[in-house]
Amino acid sequence: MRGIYIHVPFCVRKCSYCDFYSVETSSHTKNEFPDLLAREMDLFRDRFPEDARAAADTVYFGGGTPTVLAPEALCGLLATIRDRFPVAPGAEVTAETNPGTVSTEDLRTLRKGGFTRISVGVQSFSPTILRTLGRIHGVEDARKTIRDARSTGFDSLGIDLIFGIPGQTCTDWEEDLERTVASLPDHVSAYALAPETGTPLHASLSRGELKMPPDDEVAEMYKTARRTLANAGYRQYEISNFARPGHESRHNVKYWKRDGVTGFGPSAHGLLFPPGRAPHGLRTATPPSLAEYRKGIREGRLPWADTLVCGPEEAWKEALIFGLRMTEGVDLTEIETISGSPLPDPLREAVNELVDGGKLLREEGRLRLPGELLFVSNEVLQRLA
Amino acid sequence: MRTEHIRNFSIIAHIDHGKSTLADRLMEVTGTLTSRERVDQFLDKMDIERERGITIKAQTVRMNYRAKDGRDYVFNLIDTPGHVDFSYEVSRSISACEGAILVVDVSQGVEAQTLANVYMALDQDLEIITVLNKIDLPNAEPERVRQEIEDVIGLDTMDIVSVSAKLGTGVEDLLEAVVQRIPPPSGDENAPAKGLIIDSWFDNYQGVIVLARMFEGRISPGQKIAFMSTGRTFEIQEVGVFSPHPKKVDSLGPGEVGFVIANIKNVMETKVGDTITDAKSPAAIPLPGFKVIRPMVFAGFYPVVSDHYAQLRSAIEKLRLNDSSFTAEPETSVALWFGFRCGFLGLLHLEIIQERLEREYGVELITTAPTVGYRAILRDGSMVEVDSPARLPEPIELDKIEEPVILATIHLPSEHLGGVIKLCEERRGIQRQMKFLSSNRVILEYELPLNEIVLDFYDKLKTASRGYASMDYELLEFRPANLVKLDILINGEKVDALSLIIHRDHSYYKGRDVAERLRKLIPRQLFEVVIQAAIGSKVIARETVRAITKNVIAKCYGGDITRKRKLLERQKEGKKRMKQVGTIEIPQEAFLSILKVKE
Repeated sequence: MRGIYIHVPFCVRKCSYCDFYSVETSSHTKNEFPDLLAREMDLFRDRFPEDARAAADTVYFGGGTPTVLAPEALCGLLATIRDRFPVAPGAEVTAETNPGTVSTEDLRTLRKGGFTRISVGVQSFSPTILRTLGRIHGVEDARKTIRDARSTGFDSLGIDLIFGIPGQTCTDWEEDLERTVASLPDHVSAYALAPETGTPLHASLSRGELKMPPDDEVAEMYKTARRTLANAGYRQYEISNFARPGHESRHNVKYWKRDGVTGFGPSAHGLLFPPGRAPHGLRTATPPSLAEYRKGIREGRLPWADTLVCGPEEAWKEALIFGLRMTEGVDLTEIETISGSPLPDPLREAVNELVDGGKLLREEGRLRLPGELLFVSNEVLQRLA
Repeated sequence: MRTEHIRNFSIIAHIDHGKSTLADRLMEVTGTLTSRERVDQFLDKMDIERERGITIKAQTVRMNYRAKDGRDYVFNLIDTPGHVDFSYEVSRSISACEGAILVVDVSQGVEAQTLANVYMALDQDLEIITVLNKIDLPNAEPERVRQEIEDVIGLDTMDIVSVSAKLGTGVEDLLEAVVQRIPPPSGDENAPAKGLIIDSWFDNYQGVIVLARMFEGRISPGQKIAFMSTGRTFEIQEVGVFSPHPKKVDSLGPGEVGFVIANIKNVMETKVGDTITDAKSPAAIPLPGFKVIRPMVFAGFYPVVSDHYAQLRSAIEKLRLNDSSFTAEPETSVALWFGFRCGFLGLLHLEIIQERLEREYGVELITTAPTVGYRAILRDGSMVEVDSPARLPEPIELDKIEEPVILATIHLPSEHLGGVIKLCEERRGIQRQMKFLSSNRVILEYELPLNEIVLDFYDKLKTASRGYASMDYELLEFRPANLVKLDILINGEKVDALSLIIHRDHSYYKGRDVAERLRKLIPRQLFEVVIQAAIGSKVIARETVRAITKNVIAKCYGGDITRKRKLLERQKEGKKRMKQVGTIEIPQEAFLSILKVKE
């Protein structure tokens, strides 16, 4: 089944490391946004009726900070989606949020409005590190949001963490992990910080005001995370994702398994399988610009900047490169059945070479990365690119 | 044509001093080239020649000039290669001339590189016309440069010609000076034919084209000719001149310079410096100065991607059609698989061939460290030529190793004597002679092992003399030396392509240096890489490249798929120029880096 992604491009303030598309904006723009989304969905339904008719079992509001919009507006958007597209019973409906942007009441409204899962951008429990990251919230805000999410009855609560931050020590990170485990989330994402060009953090690093911890230390932090989370009952299911059994993000898994996702909102991406038109998938990308987005919709066209029809080889490469991010790995026969084309020879050779070199494990028809290579996975996956 | 109306000359100049511009200007003023067809720097045809500002193949241009005396003259400009690697070819080009134009940039002064050729021209009794070029430049210093020419080269500057090749100023005066000062060639057109091979190259349609200067006799189509060094005979199909485009003529007689086409299939037959004679009534003795040129420097050429071996082989074959001094034999390396062991006149020659293979034939290459050719004398008294360290016999069989020793002749201003002597001594040199030409000019003769000079000696010599020393060398003999093979082991496996033959006294230092250098060049990879330097079974240095610990795309969802895939593609692309040796990837630079001298 397919997923639906909504990109809400607003934040109270931009964080120093973030290169996702979001703006600090006026209430006018925020008020106008749900209507633009509704019109985009209409346009989509007209142009891709078959995709629109396929049931969705996940809806994901990401950003930005979706909860910068009023909870009523988010619930309204969810209703807008349900009006236009079939959403399967028991669907996973996630909202990302950041501490300091939601009250207990807001969360209650979201839960009542149909949201089942909440993903909290905690990032760190250290005040110094939160400052380095340019977060607007304090440690206490994070604790409160987690408590509120629990008490308002979400089925699933996720916490996002970042490690490998300038100034962060292994001990700092161990403390973050302990506090995370103590807050009993259902899901933990732990990302190694990647300074992206164009961000204030990147600029500070190039000016030498900040310094990234050495790779070996960051790798040590990753090991600690895998160990600590495993001991606390979280199963690692992807390079940066850990969950209690049954609490894996169904929506995010779609990206790694190349399932269809329809994306709405500026900077949203999608992967469609319009029957007869693109058997190996059509990738869509909306430009990261509210102005262009608005213009496209007002002119009555889908505001996509790029679409890319994948060929069988691209589809295979993606299926391998992204599928192998998951600890369960990939099933070549399954991909072959779904895509309807056999594994191209050069890729088969590359796979065999990697298996022979011990860089991929082949077990019961599945291929997977050895755990100790997850943090150097690019060295392996690039052979398949 | 009467020989008294012929003038044969070359132009000697440092890079950038305006040789090609002056040649273009001469062709324009004599009407040889119209300005419409004038491509800047007509003589330097190859891209590499233009970029490096050097001439690799000799070329000639015939020009007609009506002098102020009212008579018509034929000028043959013989353009020579310009580097010490090609000094034999230069000497043959120069011996085809009666005169030379020495071009000196008046804003820069005398440069060392020109000196070797000037001395060669003086040795062969050529008339030298000194030209000060670029007199239009605001920073021209004619007086200083004039003085320098007298002091450094020892040439009389009384009748110097000043020109601006760019603007054309003074070019007429120069043409007149050529007529008046360069002697006409002499030679009997009824004597048995004697022609000098200046150069030759392969043409896809006509076979080998020989560039020659006639000294005696006359040759024409239909005639049977012989090359005196080989005795091989061919029938002439066509003779002609370059003006500058090829033009057929009926015959070539004494003093004339032109091309000969005789259904020759291989440039190996047409050796530079050999004498062309009539097959039926040959000359009694050949022209002097002929030498069989043998490669002095060897290196392995391997395709980066092993599948490209056939492509490399065909490219090498094509280049060899045009260059008889470039040798190539198939070679296999444990580390690099299939490739070629190639021989060159010197390092520049190697670089040019390497660049042409990559640029013109699109073959990506791994070049192993250049080495000179050694002789291994075995215990049973037999001798093995060793043009690759990997081919050095095992110590148990080996009695001794002999290395090539050259005799270097270095011209330099006496103020730099100290620095240059120090350099020669460091390179195991033995002084043979020191001769003062004047109070401030010296000729030094040193016996030097070729492997000490092949790599960077020329650069160091220039540094030690602020550019004023010039050098020429010839092979003297093979001499026993205390040499050892330095092996490099990567994760315990010997990488044959990284082995090196060096003097024992330098081996410990060099082993440590190479291991350290490789540690810096080999990127961190999935497994730890241990680099060892060893002589025989004795490890003398060890370095490790620790395994990589982080190379990951941590956050990867729908928005990034295409971008992230591109990132991996770029990483993959970056590794393409690395050679997989066992499980380890070694960057190309590593194979050459081992010879670099520590800064």
